[in-house]
Amino acid sequence: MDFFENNFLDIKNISKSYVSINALNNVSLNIYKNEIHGLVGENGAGKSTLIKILTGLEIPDDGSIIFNGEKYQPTSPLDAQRKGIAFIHQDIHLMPDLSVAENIFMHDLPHKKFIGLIPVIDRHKLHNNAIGLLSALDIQIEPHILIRNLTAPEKRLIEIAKALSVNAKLFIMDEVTALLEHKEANILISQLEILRNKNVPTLFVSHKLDEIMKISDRITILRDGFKVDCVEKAHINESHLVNMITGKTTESNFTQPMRCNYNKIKVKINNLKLSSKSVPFSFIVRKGEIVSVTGLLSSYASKIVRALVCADSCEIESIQLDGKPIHIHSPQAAVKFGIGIVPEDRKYEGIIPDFSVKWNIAIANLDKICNFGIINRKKVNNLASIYIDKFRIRTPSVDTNIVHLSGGNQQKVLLARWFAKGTEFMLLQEPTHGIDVGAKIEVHALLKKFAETGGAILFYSTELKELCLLSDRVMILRHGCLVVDLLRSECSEEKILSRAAGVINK
Amino acid sequence: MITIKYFNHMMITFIKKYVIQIIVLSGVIILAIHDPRLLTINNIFISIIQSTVLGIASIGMTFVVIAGGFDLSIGSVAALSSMFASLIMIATESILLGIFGGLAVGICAGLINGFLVAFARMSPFIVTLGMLVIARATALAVTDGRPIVGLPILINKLANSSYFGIPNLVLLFIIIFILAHILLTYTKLGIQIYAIGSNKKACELAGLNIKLITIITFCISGFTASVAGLIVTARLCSGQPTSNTYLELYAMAAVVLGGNSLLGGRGNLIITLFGVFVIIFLQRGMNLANINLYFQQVVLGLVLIITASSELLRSNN
Repeated sequence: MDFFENNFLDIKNISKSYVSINALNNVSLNIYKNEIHGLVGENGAGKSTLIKILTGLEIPDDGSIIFNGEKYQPTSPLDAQRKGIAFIHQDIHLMPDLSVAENIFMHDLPHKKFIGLIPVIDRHKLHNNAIGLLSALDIQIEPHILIRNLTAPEKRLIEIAKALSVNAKLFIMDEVTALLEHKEANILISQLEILRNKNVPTLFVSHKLDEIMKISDRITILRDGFKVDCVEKAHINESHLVNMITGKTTESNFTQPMRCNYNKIKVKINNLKLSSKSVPFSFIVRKGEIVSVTGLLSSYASKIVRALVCADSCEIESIQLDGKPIHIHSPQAAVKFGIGIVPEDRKYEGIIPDFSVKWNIAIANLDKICNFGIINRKKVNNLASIYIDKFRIRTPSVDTNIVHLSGGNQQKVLLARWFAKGTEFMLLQEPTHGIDVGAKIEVHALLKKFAETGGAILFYSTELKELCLLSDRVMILRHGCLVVDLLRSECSEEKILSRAAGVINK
Repeated sequence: MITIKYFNHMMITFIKKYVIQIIVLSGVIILAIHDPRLLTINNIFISIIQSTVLGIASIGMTFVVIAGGFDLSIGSVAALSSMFASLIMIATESILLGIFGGLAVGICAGLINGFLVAFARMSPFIVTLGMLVIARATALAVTDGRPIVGLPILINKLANSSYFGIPNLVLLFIIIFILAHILLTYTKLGIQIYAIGSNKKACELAGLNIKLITIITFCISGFTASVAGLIVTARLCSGQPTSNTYLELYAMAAVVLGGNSLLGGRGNLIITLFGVFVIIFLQRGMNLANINLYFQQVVLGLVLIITASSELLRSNN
């Protein structure tokens, strides 16, 4: 067989950089007509940027893509779809008040003529088409049920069925199995195999390494925006793959000793139940300790920070702060108890966009800068200047609008907000999400300093390097349950990844 | 050369930003040229007295808009407090009790609006639209749609007399304006109002009591609406259930025409004041030009829609 004819999608030397980050550096990737191609990498490795380019959400700075023998440069997701690329995203995009059948065939509803004149939807045909498709896929869901009444994995299956109903030339699947159970994931996998045999390839992105190993013919590994390698499945095993993703062999990078001056318990959380099915677990954070939580998308680990401040509905039996039981019913109450919250979504939940740097720092410290409710502007400026100097926040002045700062400096402003308040317990989500390497180091240093002065930190992150560099303890969750609680001395990037992915460590 | 280029660039940005305001102002100027009476001292004086009702109502509206909401009920709430104040004055023959009763009605309406928006997480549109109908209908139902007459003459005298040549109503407007401006610019509450208008979610996580602040803004709006209602009552010396119709429309137009962001978080009272005066002069000018009252309302509705849409279009870019 001619090799070049098989080279169905050919990505050549693609580069893409954002303001301060090189998301992709000279990445090449080719997909054959008869394969399932796995794509793996840590968060921030460049997977999502690559997918955004393929689906027309981003335009690469450099490089070219050949798809099906033609130059491929999609201008929008719709354009990519027209050119034959079907994309299934992590999130579910179905219309909740329409039926399963209507959702699947939304793009092309069958019509008939009413009294030979008025075009109306042919419900009978629609129903039969849906039954045909669903039974071919071995999905047991009635086509007339409303999407609203389905469970999350069922919705995911419908989304997949919808994508399969289009005669696409290439499928891109981004973490689609994250919320699926084994049986449902197997339906998908067998479908992809059938498609492969019909010369319709798939680019399959997943954090579940066992799954990637099972399904893919070849696997491309990305790290920090570079392509590490593209390997055939037969030539690799899971632990090898973990090493390639993290870029390290098993040597330890923990030269710093563990801080052991902490002994007082700051926070004790009893019986936290993250989802209806999961087993409750308890944990503590000591003064001066940095504890992290991590896990795959299906682990509900991302809910933990918000669960503690009651912004999401989770069940907690009790929380003890400094030995005293407290009841937190709102973020406002959490702040009153001296808890500082730095959310993951800086833009929508962190900064106040119409405000200057100084007011973004002062907003949580209004009692400090007001006398009897009247603002003392001098105090606001002083407070801001102190932290701009201390944290080396790069801003033209205290009056600059926060949106003009880089992500790293915005994050430092958010930290300054809480440090100025004298917070003793910080809750962070993805503390260095989307900020450049230099600022990452600075943010890490600030957090470590905070812990050294007796502060307690609990953060959620999916960045392995960050988990290893910053935490004294790493809690790994799977399906809402605590799998293991690793001490700093015993954790490594490979270990975290394999425990989170459920790979049995030999 | 560079300065000229820079100047041109500045001019273009300025014109782009304030295109609607420039068009409306030129409308006022055309009306003034058409009828020079518009800009005589006497007419300006009358206009300022007339602007007190709209001006005071717009102050409350500015608070709500900066906090990211809006209040459609102020015209009806003004009428309702006017009716209640009149009834109390007639029943007790006490002007003071009447005034307090009227203000209490306004604050209560604001409290209900704010409570539903903050705690029931309802859209301000639905809540205040409902309040618009309820308040107006209650005002009409109380007296079967007839005005309440026979109020103490003193109240009319209060409204029409002046101190040191400044009419009492203008004095009242100035006092409320200064207090509101201080509240919004120099106090903790003021900065919190701006903050929740800018990013509610972030404020919640920063520990602000966003529910309380939302309620306070609606209460301020209800309070200023009732003051506006009381002014009309005093000037007409009667309780009018149909008074202040479309006050919310005019106040919204003034607030957005001044340049306050309908998305919240940006704006101030001084630009609202500018918007109020432009609207009042536009109205007076159209009156002098004998333009039909209903057509005037069409023009003001257009001003509101076009100003608001141009702001939203800009922010989308």
